[in-house]
Amino acid sequence: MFKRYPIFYLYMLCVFVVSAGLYVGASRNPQFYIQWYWPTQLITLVIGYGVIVDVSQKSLHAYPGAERAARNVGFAIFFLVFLWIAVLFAWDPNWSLGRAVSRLERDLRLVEALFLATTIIAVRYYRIELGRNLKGLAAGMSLYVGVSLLCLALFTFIGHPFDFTWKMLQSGSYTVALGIWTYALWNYDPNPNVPPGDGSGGYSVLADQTREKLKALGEHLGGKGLP
Amino acid sequence: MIALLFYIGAAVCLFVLMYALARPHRAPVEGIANQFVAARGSLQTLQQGLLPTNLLNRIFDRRDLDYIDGQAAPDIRRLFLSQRQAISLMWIRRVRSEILNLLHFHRSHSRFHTNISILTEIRLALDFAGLLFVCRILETIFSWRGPYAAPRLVQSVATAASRLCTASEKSLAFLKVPGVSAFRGDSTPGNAAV
Repeated sequence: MFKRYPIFYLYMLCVFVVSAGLYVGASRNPQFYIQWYWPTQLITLVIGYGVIVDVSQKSLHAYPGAERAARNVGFAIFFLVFLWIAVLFAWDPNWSLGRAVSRLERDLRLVEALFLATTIIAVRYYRIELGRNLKGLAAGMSLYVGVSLLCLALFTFIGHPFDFTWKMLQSGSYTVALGIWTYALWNYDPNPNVPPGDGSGGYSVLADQTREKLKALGEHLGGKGLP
Repeated sequence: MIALLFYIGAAVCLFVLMYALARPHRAPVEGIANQFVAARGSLQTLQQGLLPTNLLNRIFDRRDLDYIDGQAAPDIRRLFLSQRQAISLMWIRRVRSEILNLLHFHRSHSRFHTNISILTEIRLALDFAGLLFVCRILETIFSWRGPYAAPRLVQSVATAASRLCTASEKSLAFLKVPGVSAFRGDSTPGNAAV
């Protein structure tokens, strides 16, 4: 399974190393956690992007039209959200690093959520059937990203009184997501029913060949003189 | 506050999509000839059977009702209206079902092809969604207010459906074999030409 979904397992490893590192560091020095929480979150978030892009590519790779549509819309969303973030950062008079980082994470989670949503919409719209592995990866990521987005948005507005609920919700959603991933990736389950593309010997080619044969037959039987 | 609602909305949308993804759905068996034949059949049914102006005039022309009003008893009028309502409901349901067939074909076909621009794809998706929605509205209007309640909407459905038929026709163009008509058994039995 590691060979089939390397980015996902890298993500798992990264989350584990970051969480364990923060836990050990915080037990020795309480400032360590506060100092390192946001930078390490950004690293796992970036690898999380990799997982989402990987899920999108693996879900749609047999369908070039659907894949291109999802990719274009996804990148358009990516560009628009980053433009929006840049404008907000540039015009914010009360700019501070801590606030900026938590907002940046929230906005990056928003992009993740929209990218995931685009992939799922493409899968549903084009009626593409996914195997248990990819379904589980997408479902687990959706749950975790959705809850994280919700928590970060509420934290930006409520502030530190929301800390305890945030921790519970985020770690709870991650535990549930781990359960989903464990079930989904227990064994390899490829996407079912992947058809050959129309471009590689599909109906267009068959129709062309039939047309040629009918033309030849028509000429053999008397060409244009037929009634 | 608006930003908060926006983020919460995005998260809720993601949960809804997650649920939609988890729901089992059977994708069609791609590549089978039935899909192409069904789409071709739907196209022909729409273009030649359901959307021609003379048929629309036949079903939705108000002069028929005016004639009945002037000539017949109230019982006959009621009977006429109920029958015309049944016909108009059958018409809109059939149009909707053929449009759905075309939509399924379009989705199955376009997912393989990169030559359709993304804007065209989005426009077509919106056109299909809009048309199906208006068909439902029209069905509701016919059920509640009778067949003559929304003549303009009938006209706009017919125009939009014709436009979609033209777009779908391009996708199905390769099924038109020019020489095939020559091999049809149109000649009379005693006048074999081959």
